Amino acid sequence: MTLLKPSDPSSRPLSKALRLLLGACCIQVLLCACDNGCEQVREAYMTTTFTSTSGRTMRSISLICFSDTLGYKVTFSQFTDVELQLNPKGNHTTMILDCSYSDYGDLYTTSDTVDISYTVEPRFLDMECGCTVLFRIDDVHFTRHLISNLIINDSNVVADGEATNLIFEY
Amino acid sequence: MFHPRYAITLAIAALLLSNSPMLLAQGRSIPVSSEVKAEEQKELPDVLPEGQKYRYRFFNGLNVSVDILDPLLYTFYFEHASFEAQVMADFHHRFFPMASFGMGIADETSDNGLEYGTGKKQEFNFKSNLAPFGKIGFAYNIDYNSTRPNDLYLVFLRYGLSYNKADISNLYYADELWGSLGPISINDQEYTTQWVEVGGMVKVQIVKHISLGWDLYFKAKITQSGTQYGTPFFVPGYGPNKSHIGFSFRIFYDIF
Repeated sequence: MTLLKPSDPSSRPLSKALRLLLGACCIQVLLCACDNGCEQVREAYMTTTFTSTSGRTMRSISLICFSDTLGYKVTFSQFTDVELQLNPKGNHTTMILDCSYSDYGDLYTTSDTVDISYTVEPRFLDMECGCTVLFRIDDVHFTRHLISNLIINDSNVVADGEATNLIFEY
Repeated sequence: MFHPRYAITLAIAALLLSNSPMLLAQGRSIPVSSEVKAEEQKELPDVLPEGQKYRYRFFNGLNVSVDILDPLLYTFYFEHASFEAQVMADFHHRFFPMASFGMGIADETSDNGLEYGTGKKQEFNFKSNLAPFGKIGFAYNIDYNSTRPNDLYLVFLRYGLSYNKADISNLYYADELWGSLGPISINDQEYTTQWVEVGGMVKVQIVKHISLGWDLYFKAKITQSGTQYGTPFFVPGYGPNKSHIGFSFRIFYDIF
């Protein structure tokens, strides 16, 4: 019998190589098969907060939000972290706020109009999710019936944003 | 039409098969493990002479290797690949500085067709033409005084740098309220990425001068520029941007 050295190549190298290669292919496919489905948030919401600086107490707000001919209406009674959607096909959105508030025990209603101008930029996420958009708030105009001040806290409205974008003071 | 992918596969197959007829014809019997061990001990003593730190001389040569897994998968399965060649020097059979250079390509279409807002299926495309990358690093042989000089078990650290330019087309954005926006294209995005890789490598001799091996590693990006409109799907040399585990299958040639 011919004794082979440990590193002698003649012990079926092709079979050994193909087995190694097949194993490697399987590992690579398994590694790449882990990404499945979109797990990211794609919709970008503008976060707003209403803060009282005058001692008045807000009861509820009925908000009509429109851009061009489209619009939506929402009513809410919690005034922190209210999420609103801007129109990605336009460059401005108008909000009409019908507010119900109490001042020294008396109930009042009033309206304010807020016009938000912004630019829309696409953001590529990945091959599962596609894209989202970033709204960059450029300018804000508003009436001052109830609202006394409006602060742009963070001008970037992004899908995974945690910061408050607008702070309404009344 | 003859696709370039098939040329790559044929080249790899030719490389694998080139030595086979001669080797298979040798027809020698395979030794049992006790015989192999006895042969090893005959060749190289297990214990080094007193005062000798290294079994192997200072410079033991160079080897070059190419990753054949990515091109192979690109041919049959994936729509992206990195083609990489690496050179590695051997000092005392313990320290292995290495450098590699390559090109990466991606032309990936979203395969699931997104049910996006309106319910329509939308397929978008990420395209990055052939773009360069380089890596430098250092490997350490954990069994450097082994009596089997042709098999290596290494741990390594590598630094990578790449540049690529990509076009992303046919994207759609939709929300329940305002409907669908698109198609959107993000063109001529230039990305520069730096990353590090830490892992292990195995190299096993198959025939004289030719070895095969794997490397399995963890990778993490240090910096990535040009991401104003989002991160790229694919980075040459790194792979999919969100991945953190890398794997390659190499064919080595020992130059001397």
